This record gives sequence, C-alpha cells and structure tokens, in this order.
Amino acid sequence: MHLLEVSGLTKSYGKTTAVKSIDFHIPAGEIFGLIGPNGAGKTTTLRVISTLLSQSGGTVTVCGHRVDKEPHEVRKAISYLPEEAGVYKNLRGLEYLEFIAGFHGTRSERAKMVEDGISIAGLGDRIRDKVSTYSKGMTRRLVIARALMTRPSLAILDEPTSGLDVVNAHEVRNIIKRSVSEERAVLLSSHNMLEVDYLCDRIALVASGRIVEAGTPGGLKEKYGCTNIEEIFMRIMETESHADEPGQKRD
Amino acid sequence: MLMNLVKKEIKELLTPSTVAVIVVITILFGSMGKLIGAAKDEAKKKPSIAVVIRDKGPLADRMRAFLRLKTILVYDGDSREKGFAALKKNDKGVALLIIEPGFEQALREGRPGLVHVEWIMRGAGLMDTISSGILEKTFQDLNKVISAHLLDSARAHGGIISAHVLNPTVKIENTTYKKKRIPALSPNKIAQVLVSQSIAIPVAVMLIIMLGGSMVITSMGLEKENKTLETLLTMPVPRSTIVLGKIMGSAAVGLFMAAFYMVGFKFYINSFEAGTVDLAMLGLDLTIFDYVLVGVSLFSSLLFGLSIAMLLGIMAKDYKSAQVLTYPIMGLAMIPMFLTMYRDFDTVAPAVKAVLFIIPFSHPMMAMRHLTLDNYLLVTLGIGYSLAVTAVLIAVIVKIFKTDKLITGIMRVNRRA
Repeated sequence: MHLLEVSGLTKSYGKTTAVKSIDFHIPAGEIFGLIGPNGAGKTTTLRVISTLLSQSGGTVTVCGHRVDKEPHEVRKAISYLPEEAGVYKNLRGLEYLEFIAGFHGTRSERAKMVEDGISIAGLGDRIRDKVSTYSKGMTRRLVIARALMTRPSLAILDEPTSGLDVVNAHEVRNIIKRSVSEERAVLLSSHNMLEVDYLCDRIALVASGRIVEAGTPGGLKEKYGCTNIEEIFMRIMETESHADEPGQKRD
Repeated sequence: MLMNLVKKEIKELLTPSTVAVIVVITILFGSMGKLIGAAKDEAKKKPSIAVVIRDKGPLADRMRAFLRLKTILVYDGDSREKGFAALKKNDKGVALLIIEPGFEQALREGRPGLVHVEWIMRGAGLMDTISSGILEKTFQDLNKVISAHLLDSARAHGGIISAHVLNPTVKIENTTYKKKRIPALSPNKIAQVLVSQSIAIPVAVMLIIMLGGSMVITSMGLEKENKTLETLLTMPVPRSTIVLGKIMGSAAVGLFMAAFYMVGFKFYINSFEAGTVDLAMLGLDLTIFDYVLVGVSLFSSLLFGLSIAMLLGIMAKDYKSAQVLTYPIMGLAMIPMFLTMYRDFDTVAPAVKAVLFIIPFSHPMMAMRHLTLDNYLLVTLGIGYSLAVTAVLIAVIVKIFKTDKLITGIMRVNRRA
C-alpha cells in the first residue's frame, strides 16, 4: 500500500486554479520531491495533503485515510513543516518540543518523542534557552526536530532548508535522510536542485499547477541527457513556456 | 531630498491603523460633545415637582407663587399620597415638597421651618441627577424668598428678627431610588456615593475587555506571522479544542485580572463605607454573593469579548493588522461605557435600552448598580445572554477553523472571488 495516493487533485481559489488535476503516489521508505518555480502549486498541494486546505477536486489518501473525509486520522499520520515555520518565541526549545509532543501518544511515548527531538535538533544545552535567542539555523533545526520526532508515517516538508547556510542545510538534509525507514516516507518541496538530487528517490516537476515530469533523478538525467537536475528543470521550463504561448497545443 | 524624506515618513506613518485611531477618537469626542450638549439642555429645563402646602397665610402664598414660577407643578394640593402618586406618574417628577401647618408660625417664633422633601431618584448616571441638582438650587432660592418675607414682615409689623432669618428652614429629606427608600439623603448625595459605580466600573470593564481582546487578536496575528498556526492546525487535535484552548487561556488571564480588579474595587468601595455615608446603613452595600455575580457577569462578558476578538483575529494577516482589528472591540466597549456613565439603564429610551442589552459589555458595567438595588433579574439575564452569544460565536469560529479561510484569509479570498 502507498502511504500517499494523490489522484486528480485540483485546487481552485475563486477563478484561479492553483493545482490542476495532479496524480502521484509515495510508497513507504521513499523521499519524494516536488520541484517547480514559485507559484507552481507546490505549497498548495502540500497544504491539501496536510489537511490545511480543502481540495476542489480529486482524492488524496494518507495511510488509507482520505484527507476530506477523515482529516483527524490523517493528522495522526503526518507531520507538516511549513516553509519558514516559526516557533513560539516565549517558549524554550525544550518546552516547544514538549508542547508538540503533548498532542501525541501516551505519557511515556511523549517522553521518548522529546528525547528524540532533543537528539535530532542537536542544540546541546541551548535547547533549554528561549527560542527568541536562537539563530535562524537553530530555529530550523528545532522545527525539523519537532516534525520528525513524532515518527510520522508521512513527513511533509515545505522547503526544509530554505534560508539556511551551507553547514546548517547540510545537517538538515542528513537529518531528513536518516528519518526515512521502511514504514515511513517523506514528501518535500524544494527550489534547491542539488538538494533534490541528493535527497529524493523520485521527483515530480510542477509547473502552472500540473506535474509536467516525474521520475527518479537518475532516470530523468538519462532521459534528458543532462548531468544534473537543474539542467533538466531549465529545459522543461523552457518547453513549458513555449507550450503556454498562444497558438501552441499542450499535450 | 527633504521632500523625498518627508513623503516617505508620511507614507510610513499614515497607515490604516493610524487613520482608524484618528476616526475613533473623532467619533468619541463627537459623542462626548453630544452628551454634554444634552446635559446642558437638561440643565435649562424647569424641574417637575409636587407640592403639598398645608400651612395657610401670606408666606405660603408667596412660596407657592415662587415655586409656580421656577418649577413645573405636577400636583398642588393637600394630600401627600396623591402628590407622591402624581409625581411618580410623571416620568420627569423630581420631588414632593411638604410644608406642614404652623410653618410660618414657627419661623415667627424664632424656630426653623421644617421642609419635608420626598425625592424620587430615577437613576445614578451623571445625567440622571441634573434635575435634582437644579431643584436643590431652587430650594436655596426659596430660602431667600422666605428670608425676604420674614424681613419684610418684621419691618412692617415689628417683632424679633430671628437668628434663623438667613437660613430659615431645615430640610427633612428622603429619597426613593427604584424600590428602595433611602433616609436622610438627597439624590445628589447618593449619586456622589455611587459615582464609583457610574464612572470607575465602566472604565475598568472597558479596559479589561480591551486588554483581553487585544491579547487574543495579537495571538492570532502572531500565530499567522510566525507561521505557527499552520503547525498547530495539523496537530491531531479537534479544531474546537484549539479554539477553546485559545479562548480559555486568554479568559484565564482575564479572570485573573478581573479577580484582582474586584479585590481592589472592594477596597475602593470600602473607603466610601468608612466615610461619612455608610452604604450598609442605607441598604446600598453589596454582599459577597453580589460581588461573585459581578465577577461572573464580567467573566461572561469577557468570554464574549474574547470570542469576537478571535473572530476578528482570523482576519488578521500579521501582528500589525491585528492591532487595527482591536478598534471594533474598543468601539463596542466604548458605547456602553459612555451610556452607562451618563444614564441608568431604566432612564434611557427603549431603543438605547435595546442597544445596551444587545452589547454584552454593558452588563458588567451595569451589574453593580443593578445589584445595589437588588435587581438580580437583569444581571442574571445579562449573564445568560452573554454566554449564549458567546456559544454562537464559538460555533461560528470553529466552523471557520474548519475551512480554508484561516489559511487563505477571509478578505483575500473575497477579493479574489
């Protein structure tokens, strides 16, 4: 069974359609990446899967639960990390992890979650300091830790390394890579092609609300005869911009 | 270059929030001006009174003539009961003046003349006691008329000029305030005692509601600005729990504030009791149960304030826009604040009465005055109404929490559509 099944997903805001009937699935043990330009519909897709937005059409199923019918069950299975996710500034790092753990499991499970969170964040003694004193990198590590410490079946990470320096981004990527197991999967969106190449088992390129290409990074490089994902991205985007020109027919 | 900087500064400073503050202050001063204007008009009117002058003679005739000139006589006869009934029937009636037989004789014998005054107090608001204030002044002028009569009489017929001639009367007064008869005090003196309820309570309630409301709106604005709301909404917890958690958290802080306020206020009230007027002796004191009721009224109204703040907070995009959204709550709290300061619930027009009842913030502002007069029904009705409206608001908020509007923003979606 796939942990995530997205079929014909459409999302409209009034007259604007942000996501136009997209399909993809994620089996357990996989890191799946959505890549695309700004406004392509990546975040909207992630928000629908995370039960934050309702879909206008299609179906989304997480661990056998439909997001529109059983949102509460879906929320038990996922962990969503928004782009530039913040933290309550008056809490200490540890208090924040305890606050999030408070929504999950039994008391002993929660204690284990916090223990894991502290380990994933890797902030040492600073975990007891107020979040308002943290650097951007430290805050990001804390929110990544909070997203992964609950051991979600599906972790949904929107631009997980956005705004981080090279060292912190590298460390966060390693944390994500280590979090995947046989029962768990990760869905992430990113602008960073190197990151996608390094992290993802499969990727889908989203443009103007549609998936225009999908496959493994290796397979796509072979198909397009490119040495990196960035080249593939640029080539597809170029084709897309031509297809959008008046008089051009889209497949 | 200078103009360039000036233009930038103006653009930065003249935001919708600053414009909103200016508009609110303008409206506020406008309404205050209107109220003061109404008070001035009221002060020009003659007070309506009833007189029972049982004494016969030239002084009685002179007093009657003076009162006819300076007041509107709703009754002029011999029956105290009929006079009081006529006074009560007239919704502007202020007092019943009784002069017993032998009044002039007493004055001639060098004793003070007794003037019995039965006041009717309709409300304890600042505007409710204007007419009794005017009548007090009329009584002072009546004393001058009596003094003049005594001096004229002494000059014409000879005789002793008593030491009382410049202050010839002693007033024996009682006040009927709603259903209570308060001995030995005029409405003005009672209003002075109750002034804390007229001014301090509405202001304090407004401050608590504004503080609590602003906490919730700011919290929602910060949740959106810091992107913590999205995380919170994906937690495996019902949306109703999130809404209740937010409201109850702020309400707990509000209750804490309210409890402190009530303790402080009890000391404040005690200071009046320890002074020249003993509220307990007059039957105007409050029991512990009354204070609890005032607290409950305040808390239920606070819950309403927090719920409406949350509803407004949903519209906030960030901290800055959240600040602007506190103004509707401020406006909603200021209407009953000014109304209850100037008028009693019973003395306002039916339409104003309806407005006061509809705005839940009015109820704690009026609760103490109601309880002073043992009017438990209005207080409990107010509590029930506030809780019912709060329940409806919470249901609406939970419904919105289940939609996209919280993430996409209500105003933005509408604009797009």
